[in-house]
Amino acid sequence: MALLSIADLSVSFHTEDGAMSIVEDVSFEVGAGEIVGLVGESGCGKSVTAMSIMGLLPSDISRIDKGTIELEGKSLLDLGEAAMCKVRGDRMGMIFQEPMTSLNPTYTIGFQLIEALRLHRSLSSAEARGSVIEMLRLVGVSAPERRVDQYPHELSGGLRQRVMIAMALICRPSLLIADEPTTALDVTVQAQILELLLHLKKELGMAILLITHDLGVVAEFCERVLVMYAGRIIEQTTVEELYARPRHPYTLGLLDAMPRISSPAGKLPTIPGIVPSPGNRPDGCYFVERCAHSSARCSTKHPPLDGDPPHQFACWNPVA
Amino acid sequence: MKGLGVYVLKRIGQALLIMIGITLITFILLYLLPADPARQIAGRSATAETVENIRRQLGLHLPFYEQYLRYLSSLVQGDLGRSYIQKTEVTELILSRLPATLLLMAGAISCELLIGLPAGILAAVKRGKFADNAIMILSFVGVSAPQFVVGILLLYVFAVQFGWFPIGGYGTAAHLVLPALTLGLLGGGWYSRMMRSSMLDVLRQDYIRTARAKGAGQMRILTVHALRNAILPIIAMIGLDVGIFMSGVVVVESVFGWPGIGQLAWQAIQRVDIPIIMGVTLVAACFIVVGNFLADVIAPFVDPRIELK
Ligand SMILES: Nc1ncnc2c1ncn2[C@@H]1O[C@H](COP(=O)(O)OP(=O)(O)OP(=O)(O)O)[C@@H](O)[C@H]1O
Ligand SMILES: [Mg+2]
Repeated sequence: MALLSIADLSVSFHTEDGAMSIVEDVSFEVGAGEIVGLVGESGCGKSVTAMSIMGLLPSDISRIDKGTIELEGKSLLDLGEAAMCKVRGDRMGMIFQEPMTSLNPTYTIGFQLIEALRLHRSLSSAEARGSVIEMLRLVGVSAPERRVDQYPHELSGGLRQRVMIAMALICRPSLLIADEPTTALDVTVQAQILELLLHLKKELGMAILLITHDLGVVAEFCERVLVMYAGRIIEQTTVEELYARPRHPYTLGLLDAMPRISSPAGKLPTIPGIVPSPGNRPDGCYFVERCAHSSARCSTKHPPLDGDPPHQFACWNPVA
Repeated sequence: MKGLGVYVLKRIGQALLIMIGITLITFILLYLLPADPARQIAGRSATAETVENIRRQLGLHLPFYEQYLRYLSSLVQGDLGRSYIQKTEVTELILSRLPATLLLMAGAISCELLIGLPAGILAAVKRGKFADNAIMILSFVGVSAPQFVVGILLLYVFAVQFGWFPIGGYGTAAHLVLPALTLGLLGGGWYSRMMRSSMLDVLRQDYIRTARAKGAGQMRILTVHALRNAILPIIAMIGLDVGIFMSGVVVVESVFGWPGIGQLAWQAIQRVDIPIIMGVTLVAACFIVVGNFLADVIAPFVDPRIELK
């Protein structure tokens, strides 16, 4: 049984502009201890998918229209808010794109880490402080005994992201969702943070759902990839398979658009056209208007995610 | 803590400049006033000669700048002068009435916060729903109703009709409730509006999402994570408020027969008793200076990013 399994998840937003379906029929699994990459262009619904798993969608404007989300065999969508609070931060943790603003500026990092631990474990403050210092050391924060009493504004972006990671992992969750954890950081720090995640995965054994729009990061750190386009998963497979034999024309386009050391200097090929916005998705395949391989069927019927596991793709005319 | 010492000295210097400015402005305004204090003291039937004598006695015949310098030089010696009418030292009069006003202020600030903060938080959490709309309408009424109307209304309902509180006067906790509430309703209206917008702003922040992600419940997020950040603009506001308060205090003390410096000021204004008016104005200025100082000193304890400048 998979650690996390999502089936037919659809999420819509209801704003002044009317109802928009953002995520449609998303199904995937994450096995225990696995690192899975979720890639796609900006606005395709990666964060919304992550927030659905965490149960952190803004309740006033969004709705989960259908689907199931199971973590460790427990159906998360059936849990009440109180029960969900027990799962969040304990069985699954999350880190975000913006380390500069993700920590509360008015509390020391020690306070915030101890809180994360004591929300789920009954420990004395002294015991909790000990565990927190140990955790900070594990995520590579130097002089953690001193750092615990510092405020977020006294720390660099890279350090803050390490603190966020420590906070997400302090209860040893089985799943870590990392939503573009390095996008806001310097290139050198980016690599350090990703190396750290990999190291922690080996140390603590949790699974990671790594959200990124960088296929290079996926190639280096992930075991499996989910490719998302306009709210749907359009291809999923192992990393090796994806780079060797991409089947969906969109995936192919993404790979061609990746900068490579071997590629000749000059303009990278880009995918022509733009992503249809949530309100303006066509009837058939959402990629049809930008696709070089499209046929008549593509603009009438949506291709299902099909194929022999582990390699599945949603395309009527897959790339050979 | 050496930094704090320098800071305090700097602030005291600033405060002194502000005080001198305020005495000058008040002095000019009183000088330009068409009312003649000497005539007030002498009474309607007094001869022109008597009035002139009184004027000379009080030094009111001197040119403006000389009067002002005289006032200033006794002020630096801690002498606020004597009341024209009551013939008592102004310092003595003010000191005897200050405790009542301070008590009223403490009561009013407590009312403001007890009404304003929970209402503002509730409105933010229930944004767009019935509770939010109701609170915003009520706070609008609170902000716009004149205080003498509110005071008289409260007196009528809770003192005259229900008899829960004394009709006026001073002495017990029951005496304090209605005047404090009259002042507090206005402030409560302001604070609920400020708190609502501040809270809405904070609840959108990334660190609130982080707190939810670690499994904190709604109550904990509001009280621990949001409140501390949202309260900062309120603290600055309380500092200013102490000043705005003084005008309300004059009205409310008169309505409720509260023996504070507001009532003293009201009587003095009617009789053009310049030393008292000057004295009370200085005390009000002190309140503002001290209120702002306290707000500035407290802020870094609430938000460590703020430094004393
Ligand atoms: N709070 C919100 N209110 C309204 N619409 C929203 C909200 N959050 C997300 N959306 C909609 O959902 C869509 C998907 O957003 P999401 O944040 O999941 O994209 P993403 O794939 O994470 O993009 P990025 O790479 O930029 O983070 C967006 O196009 C946006 O229109
Ligand atoms: Mg995102």
